Amino acid sequence: MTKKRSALDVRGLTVHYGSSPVLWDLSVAVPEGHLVGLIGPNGAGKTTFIKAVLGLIQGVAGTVQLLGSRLENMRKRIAYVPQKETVDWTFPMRVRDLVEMGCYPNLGLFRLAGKKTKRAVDRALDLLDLSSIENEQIGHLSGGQQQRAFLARAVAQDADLYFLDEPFAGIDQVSEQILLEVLREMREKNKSIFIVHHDLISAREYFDWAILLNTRLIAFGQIDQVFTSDVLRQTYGHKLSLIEDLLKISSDYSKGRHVHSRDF
Amino acid sequence: MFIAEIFDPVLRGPLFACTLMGILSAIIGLLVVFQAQSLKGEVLSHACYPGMVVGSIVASLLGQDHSMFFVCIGALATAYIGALGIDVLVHRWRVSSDSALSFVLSFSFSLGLLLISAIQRSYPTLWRRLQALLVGQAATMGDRYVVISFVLLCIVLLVAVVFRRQIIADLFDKNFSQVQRLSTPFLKGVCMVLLVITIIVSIRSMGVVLMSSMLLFPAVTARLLTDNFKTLSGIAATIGGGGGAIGVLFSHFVTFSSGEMGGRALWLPTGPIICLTFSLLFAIALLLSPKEGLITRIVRRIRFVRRCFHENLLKILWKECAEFGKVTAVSQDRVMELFPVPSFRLRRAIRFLTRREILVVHHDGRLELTALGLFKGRRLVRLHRLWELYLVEYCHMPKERVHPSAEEMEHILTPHIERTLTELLHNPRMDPHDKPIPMAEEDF
Repeated sequence: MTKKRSALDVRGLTVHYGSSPVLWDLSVAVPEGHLVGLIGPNGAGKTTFIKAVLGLIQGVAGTVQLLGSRLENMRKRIAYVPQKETVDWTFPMRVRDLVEMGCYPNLGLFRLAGKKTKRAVDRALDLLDLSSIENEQIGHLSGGQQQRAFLARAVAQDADLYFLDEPFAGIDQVSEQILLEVLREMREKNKSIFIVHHDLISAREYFDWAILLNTRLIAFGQIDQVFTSDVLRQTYGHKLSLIEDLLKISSDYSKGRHVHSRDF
Repeated sequence: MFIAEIFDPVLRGPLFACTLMGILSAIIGLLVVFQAQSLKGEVLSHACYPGMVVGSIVASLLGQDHSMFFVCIGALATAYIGALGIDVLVHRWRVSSDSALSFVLSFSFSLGLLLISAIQRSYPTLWRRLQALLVGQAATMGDRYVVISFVLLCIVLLVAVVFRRQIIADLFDKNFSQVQRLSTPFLKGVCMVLLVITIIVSIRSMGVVLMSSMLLFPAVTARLLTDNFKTLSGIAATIGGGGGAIGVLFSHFVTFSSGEMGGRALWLPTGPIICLTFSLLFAIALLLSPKEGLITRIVRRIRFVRRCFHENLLKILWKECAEFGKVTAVSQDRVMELFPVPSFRLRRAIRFLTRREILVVHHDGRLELTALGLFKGRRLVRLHRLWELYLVEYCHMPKERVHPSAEEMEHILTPHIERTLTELLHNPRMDPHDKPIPMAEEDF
């Protein structure tokens, strides 16, 4: 058996916002070719983890290696899909332009977008079933289509490591199926995909590896070994449903929404 | 004569300088508008002011009264401090960003005003020149400003073309461009310096207070007209240049002709006129925008109503000719009987449908549908009856009440919904009123 390279090797990563730690002494090593879920409750530091790995946030301690090498040497082989809400979808751009953006890192300053770029964009559009709406302004798309367009950009980039932040949040079922299909196909090609995800129930179905975290690392490994009730209790606290319900109610109250009285 | 006047030294400087500054500001303005930082242009122009005052004082102390160098250095310095101040206020002290912007704006502006009032007595000429920067003084710009703005425009265009991908990626998705190293601190710095220099140069024509209109209006107006960034840049540049030129020409000719009429001369300052020209162009774009323009929407509505009218006529003709199959052509009297509308509307609709080759008019005035007309008519009736059946079967509406809804829906059901309905209802043959549903085109 050949020993697999680590897609991601993080040692002792610690990140602070102000004086409070968001990530504390996190160490994981994930082999290549997996669909990895980054799972934890709200505020557990999942997004922070990705941002720290990609150098968008400076950690106070720790080292990160991607495919056995430092971030600086790997940038062209990394595709990053931020949370959908972080960009302005009214920006004057068509779906096709958004996907083409994935080819920018390889085009450099002076090269014109040629046949090769066009092929890559066509392929990505086709794969995510966006060909029929390639000339739409991106703001006219549904949430699911926007998320697909975002992934299409990453596909056009043809990277080895993919980092996706909450791609399944608030999208329709058709889009969810298309995303999953494409992601699984990528895994077959030995690409490594890291996905921030907060829904436990679907996580078991989506991923084959998982990193569970809640400021600290709780567990990581193959999904079946990680998803024991013991581990879940540590990640999410005591009774899962109760905690999730309470979180919902507390956020409802804080946003001044009407709170339904429910049976617990 | 007009051409000669354009190249007249009095008009030449202001006209070409304002046109070039308009184009320049419009292009640089894209950076400000699409970073969702529209107020920042306004703040920066005010933050430049104290620096320009200090720079001018230093220059005149050194005996170089018209040197732009010190003015630029001073303005860059205070603009930088202003931008830094906003950053610190927002990120360090958690002040909301619009409060921080307003604070920096008013603080630096009052600082500038204090500074010029201090030199009012000692340097009256300098004071007048700096005073003029507040609202701009385009009419007195010489050829020097044409050269300066032309050179600056060339630099900006060069940067914009070479770094177009980096800039667009960074404007749209900062995280992405940062991870891919598309945007670098160097590029950001270059853009910032170009923005501030553009502001400094354009302040001469528009003034501190109105400068930001030259940055914002072209991009915002162009946004209403297109969804494509490249086209948008072109339109914005055109609007910027055009607005600048129109403003100068208008203020020049009105000022002069009213002067010739003797008596009190009407003097129209160029800056406000340019700003109002931009506002006018913006208002026109609001009305005519191809997406949501007021007039566009009215036209679209009128077209829809007309289409419904034509389709209703088509439906009647199809039922008369094709469904019952007795006749191939229908007389216009019969149509009027079935479809009681004013005869001029009917005549107009017939003319329209004939042009579209949907029907032909016989010599005796009878109407016959073409193959295209038959196809369209059949589809309308099919959609009408499919929808009626759906309402009865799936929404359990009584069948005598479904007709009005179907009258509306037949005009708007898409082929996709038609297919869904067909599947849902198992390709039905009869509607709730026991009338046959015409077959879909693929089965026909």
